Amino acid sequence: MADANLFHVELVTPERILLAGMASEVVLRTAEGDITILNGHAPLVGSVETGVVRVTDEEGNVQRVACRDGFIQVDYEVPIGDETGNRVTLLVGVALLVEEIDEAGVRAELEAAESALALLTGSGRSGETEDGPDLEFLAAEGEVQWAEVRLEALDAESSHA
Amino acid sequence: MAGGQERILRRRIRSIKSTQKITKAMELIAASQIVRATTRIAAAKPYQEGMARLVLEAATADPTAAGRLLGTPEKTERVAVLSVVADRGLCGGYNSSVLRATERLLGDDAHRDTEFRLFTVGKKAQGYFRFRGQPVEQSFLGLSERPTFADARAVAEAVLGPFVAGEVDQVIIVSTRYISAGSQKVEVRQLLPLVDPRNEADKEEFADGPESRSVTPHDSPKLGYTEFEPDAGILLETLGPRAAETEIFGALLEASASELTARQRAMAAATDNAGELIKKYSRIMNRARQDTITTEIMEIVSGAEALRSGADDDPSGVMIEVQAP
Repeated sequence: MADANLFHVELVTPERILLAGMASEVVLRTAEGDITILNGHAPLVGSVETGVVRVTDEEGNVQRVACRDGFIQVDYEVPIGDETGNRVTLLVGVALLVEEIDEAGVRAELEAAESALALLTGSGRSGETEDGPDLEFLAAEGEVQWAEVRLEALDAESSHA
Repeated sequence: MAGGQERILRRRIRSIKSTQKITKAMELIAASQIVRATTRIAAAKPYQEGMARLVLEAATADPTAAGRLLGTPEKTERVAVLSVVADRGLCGGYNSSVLRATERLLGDDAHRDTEFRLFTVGKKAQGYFRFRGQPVEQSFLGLSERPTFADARAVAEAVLGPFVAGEVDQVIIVSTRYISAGSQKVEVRQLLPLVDPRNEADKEEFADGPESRSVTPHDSPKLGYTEFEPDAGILLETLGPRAAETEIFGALLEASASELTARQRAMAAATDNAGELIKKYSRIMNRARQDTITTEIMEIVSGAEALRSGADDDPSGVMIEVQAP
């Protein structure tokens, strides 16, 4: 490895490899809170919650990716090509680079999702029923969150630009 | 008469020619789509491999939680079957071989006491099982040619739901594996519980080349070394269905590539066959036409002969000008 602070990162969705390259820092949200991964991080397997993942590349540029529904794996000293190195793999069901987010579309989606959620809340539902979680309610909540996360990614990008 | 036959043949040749144009076009369309389909298979590989690594790692960390999700099921009294075929025909034996394999599985003696729940992808399966009176719990249409991950997720939700809820013990998928451009194979395999990646190498019946999906020994986790967030057991609960979903997506992609390959091959054969027919009918038609001409000439000549013998003293000799028709 040329630089001791860099490690290999790959952000993969089922249909394509979204990001692949060297990075100095990855920030993401797991089920237990936000974590930052630097080079030399201990092997880790975790979930990636709906949120914005920030990948800082070797030149310090930050790439924001809106992620929904994924997993992360941090490997220590594994073979990559001809050499060994540390590797971070993010497997994300739905992921969008910040450049790919269509703001108007997301705002419309957010509105629709919020009214759908409001309708459910209005009929007295709250995510829990006597027989366990209310899946429909949770799905509606998920949609709202996903729209919010995409907008959050856009906001963060424009305020840093 | 003979002229009528010629006309009929000419018409038939024309219709074969237009059919040939259609089959040729379908062949070319399929051929161009195969490239995209195989590219998509390749693009989905990294995610599948990553998933396999994750499952392996989590399962090693928490073997108890992995019990129901991984390996061989304890009993197979209730089994869900997912059969993947095409929406359209005209692809040779592609649909029927998958459907027959499905039917064999359902009618298998070893599964006599098994309660099956059938799910299908593709319009052809819907018709096939309806005709045979085999109830289909849910069928998915319109995604066989170009499946997206969202499609796979919808299928997965329906098929995996009963397994997660404990209503079925095993989920089996019947689909066509795309091994190479020249070789596709119908495969019946267990989707859930997930096939243990550590045994995958034994189960692999064909060499997949360097892109093999089995996990390499380098990737095997260092025991007790890995942190989990959340715990491996909790993680597995979400990871299991996701991994199965990924499997389904892979199966759909391979099925679509196989379908296109089968269609290309079938259409190439049909085009060749149409060429043969055209050649054959043109020969018959030409003979018929020549027969007509011969007959006509015979008539004229014999008519002329008859006239000449009737008017021997006529000095001019020829009374009828012979003209080509």
